[in-house]
Amino acid sequence: MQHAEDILEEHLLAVEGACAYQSDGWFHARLKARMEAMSEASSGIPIRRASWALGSLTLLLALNLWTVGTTSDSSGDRSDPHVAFVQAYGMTLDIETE
Amino acid sequence: MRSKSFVGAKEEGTQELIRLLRQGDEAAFRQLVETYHERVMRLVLGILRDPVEAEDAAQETFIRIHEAIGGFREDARLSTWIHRIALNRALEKVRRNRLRERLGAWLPGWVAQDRPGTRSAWMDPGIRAEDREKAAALYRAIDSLPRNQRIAFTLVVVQRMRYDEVCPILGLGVKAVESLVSRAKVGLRKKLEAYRNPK
Repeated sequence: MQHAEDILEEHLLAVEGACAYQSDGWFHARLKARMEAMSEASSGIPIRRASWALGSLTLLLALNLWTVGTTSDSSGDRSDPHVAFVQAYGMTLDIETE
Repeated sequence: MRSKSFVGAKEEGTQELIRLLRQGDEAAFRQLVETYHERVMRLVLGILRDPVEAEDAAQETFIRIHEAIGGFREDARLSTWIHRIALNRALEKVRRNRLRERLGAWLPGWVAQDRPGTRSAWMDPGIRAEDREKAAALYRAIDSLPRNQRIAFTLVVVQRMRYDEVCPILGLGVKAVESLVSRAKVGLRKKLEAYRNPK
């Protein structure tokens, strides 16, 4: 039976040439391409986020106005979007009426 | 005297490199990559033993350096800081792979299995064909060691890094690293003996 210490040494000798990494000379180019791709992707994010936010807000507002406008309510003329908006948001608009 | 002035010049060179990197100098970043990428690749390849994952970890290391150089406090040497980042990236990938393996065992078919040519199948081209079986047995035994023993043994014994390089990377003293390596050897001897002399 082989001694345990010798066995470890033998296995260590087997990996003696391991991790002798030699660069192919393209590491920097690949890294640069990845960093540029990351930079492009991140620069698009604020614009995409802003357009998403604006789109969502417009849709929400339109939906809200449409819901308010189409809901029948005896307390006022809800078909008028202006009135509907005021009633829905409890706002008092300073509008001169003729 | 000559070596002292050389060390001084090297230190000044590193200081200048750090200053330029902080200013976002592209040529300085290229110089940094060219100086350190082989060392970083060797380190992460030693831990991951998968060239694709190792290249990914090495790239992530330099991306992190690029992002964080402004916050580098210089309480460690630049090379130590770089190696520490590289080691963390490699260990993060090991953790993720192990989690994926566990999930793969629980949910076969739901989690992507190893690509061909990854850790389980890849063999370092520096290892001779006749030694591959022994190397594979050693790597399996290393993988079964506790985490700190595995890292210390890989860096000190397999990669032949010096203690003065390994200690600051692991944030441990020489005695602690020696103890980890010694316990790793005891564990490995037992495992390899069982492999070579099965009952």
